[in-house]
Amino acid sequence: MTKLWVPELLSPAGNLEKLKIAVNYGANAVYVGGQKFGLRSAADNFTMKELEEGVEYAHTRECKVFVVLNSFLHDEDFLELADFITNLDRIKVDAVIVSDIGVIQWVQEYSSIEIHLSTQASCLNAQSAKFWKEQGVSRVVLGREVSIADAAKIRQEGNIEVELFVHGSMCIAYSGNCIISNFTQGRDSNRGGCAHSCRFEYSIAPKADPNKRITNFFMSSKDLNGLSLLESYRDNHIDSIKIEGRMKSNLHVATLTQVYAKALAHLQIEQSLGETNRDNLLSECEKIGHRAYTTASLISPADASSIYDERDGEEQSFQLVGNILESNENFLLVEVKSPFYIGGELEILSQDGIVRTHMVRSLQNFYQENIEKTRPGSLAFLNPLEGACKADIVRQRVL
Amino acid sequence: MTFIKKCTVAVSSQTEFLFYQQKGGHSFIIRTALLSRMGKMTVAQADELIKFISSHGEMVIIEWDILMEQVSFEQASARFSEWLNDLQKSSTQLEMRVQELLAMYLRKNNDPHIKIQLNLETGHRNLPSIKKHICYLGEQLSRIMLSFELSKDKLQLYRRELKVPLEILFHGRIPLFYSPRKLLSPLDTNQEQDNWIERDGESEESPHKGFPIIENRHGTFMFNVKELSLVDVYSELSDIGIDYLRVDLNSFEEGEQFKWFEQIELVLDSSVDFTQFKREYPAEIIRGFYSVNKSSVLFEKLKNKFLQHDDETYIGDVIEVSKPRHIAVQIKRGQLLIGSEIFYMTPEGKRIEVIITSILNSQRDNIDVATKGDIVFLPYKKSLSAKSTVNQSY
Ligand code: SF4
Repeated sequence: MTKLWVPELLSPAGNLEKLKIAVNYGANAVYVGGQKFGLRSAADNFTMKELEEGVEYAHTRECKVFVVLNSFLHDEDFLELADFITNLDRIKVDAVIVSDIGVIQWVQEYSSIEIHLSTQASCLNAQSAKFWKEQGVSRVVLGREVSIADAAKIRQEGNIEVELFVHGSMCIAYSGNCIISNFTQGRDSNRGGCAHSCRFEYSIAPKADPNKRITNFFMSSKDLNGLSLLESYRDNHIDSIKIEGRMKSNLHVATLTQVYAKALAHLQIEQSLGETNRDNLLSECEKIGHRAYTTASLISPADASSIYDERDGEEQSFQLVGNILESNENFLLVEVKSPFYIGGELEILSQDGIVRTHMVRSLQNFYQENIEKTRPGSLAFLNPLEGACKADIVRQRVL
Repeated sequence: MTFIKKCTVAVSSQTEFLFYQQKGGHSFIIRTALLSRMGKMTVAQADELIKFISSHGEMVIIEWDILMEQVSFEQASARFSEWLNDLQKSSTQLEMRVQELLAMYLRKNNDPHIKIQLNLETGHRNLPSIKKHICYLGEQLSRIMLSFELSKDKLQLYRRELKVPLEILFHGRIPLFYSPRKLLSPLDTNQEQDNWIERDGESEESPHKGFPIIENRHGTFMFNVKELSLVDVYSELSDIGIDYLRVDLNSFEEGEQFKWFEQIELVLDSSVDFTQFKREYPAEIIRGFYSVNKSSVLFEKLKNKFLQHDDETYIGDVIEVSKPRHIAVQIKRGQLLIGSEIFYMTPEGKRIEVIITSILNSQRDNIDVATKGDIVFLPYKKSLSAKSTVNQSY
């Protein structure tokens, strides 16, 4: 049977471990940051050696690696940039994600790496896309304000690849157009120092009537979830769908990558996801920490319903328990990240796409001594589970 | 009276224009509701004002600083082209003030002779990028508005390096935030007319009180609680050679606007002390990053250098320390041999040398060699914690 075309699935990878998770759980491409030049300074990020290992790991599994260089660079940064770019070229990264025309020039001068335009550059229309294409950009990561229909138009008129966010936290400002933390905290948000001031509670009053105060999280955005519009992404030929979250947990990366990989695999065969399938996948999205979901501007401009009027706190129904280091007929060896108990029920998020329930009937340490409860930073030997594999993610319901 | 050198101001009425012209104002920005974030004038009103300014022999700058998605861009650009055609038929001395992408659009789609003032206030704080723009726009470029986050050192450097006229914000509100979403109207059903809502915001992030917030047809804008003022370093700016200084008092009513402009002149004239001006000015004022900009220093958060894996000696990571029984290690590169000399590196940078006397696998079998991907159990060593690295001693 001929398979239908579907977009590339692009997942975040904040460090080497997450890169491997994203690759194992079905990403077609991952985006990563080096230790400098990429906006998420607080993410773990990659040393050059780790990047090299990551690229090799991904490439042998037919997954591409894009490196973000989307900080607004200061002059001093350029001293190290040439070396960094040359090294990226040497280790054969597939593309760099850039927001600055000066950086584009340097990438072209020092390498033959493909260039994608970062969402930081707020490319919102076909005219912009055409300009960036002339500058040598092969793909534009469109602003989160762009609808799927407009993205298709930009792709066609601009004759350029388009990448559109499909899931994750959202900056409520036009990307690159919020410098609140620069002035309130002395941290440059366009260089990874955003203090998330948009998530704070504000009390708002007319200047003339300060007593008429309303207290509200008026500028906090709900999280994007475009799963229910995935057919539209495909039908409009959006080249790549992007999951936000280089700072997010292993569980987050695994869950979302798997959800979208499954959905895309389904859409290669069927016209539509179908109600049951969609509901199942949407319920998986509920299992990770997130704010209330919105489709933001994917169909029409985001309105009041896209505001998250609550204190920011990522409540989640499931938590990461650990990852499987070994699986055989005798035991499951788990590296423990959060405690669980004998008699508890775990879920194994398997890389083959199946979510397996696992009752903890036996819980031992290396010396085969029974334990009641595990502790983070330890290893636990559990009763075996057929189908569970090395590197599978283990989670449990939060009580 | 000291006139502010090549003072650039936005005007929204004939009275404002006449006031600033008489004060030595050099170029006059026109903000329309169609194209400007803070614009209130209709195109017809702007048209009339432009003709008035032109009849006084002055240059007019049309500002276009809103960001636009596909459809709104198509509509606005069509309307703008029509308007520009009309304006060019009259002998208006006209320049456009735009951000980079619009500049490129104008260059391609409109009269290539129309002068462009390039707004690089957001980001773009590096010479390679600015020079690239200058090169692209060539003769069409008439000035560059530099970021208000540049320090004095940077201004000096840019002045030396850039052979085009430069402008900076000299006194006025600092824009912090621009969202296309309407964030104020959902809070209040008794909205003001004309799609224009102004509020003061107080963040729970003390001590930030009184952020001016505006919602209009283009979205929501927030300004800093404190305004930028470089009035007391006017002579330094003149020495550096910044060509144009912009004064933005447009948030005040006309009378107040004129009053504070004159106060600035008095400070420059040394008739009013800057400290007094600062005390009396309705908002707190700051120099921003003029003296120094260290806002990115904190955020070059590098990995703990003791845990970096770039070294060829790196073999793997400690994943469990079971006191006093064993150290569990995950092998990530190369191999670990019985009898070999290794060293552990703790996150604190402590190096602990050992000779491997025993290796057990997860089934508790003794093995002689462990390779990539294996989980092995080595003899206990004190002072180690999970996250320490394991390295080959050569
Ligand atoms: S504070 Fe909010 S809107 Fe501003 S940069 Fe950070 S996430 Fe974006």
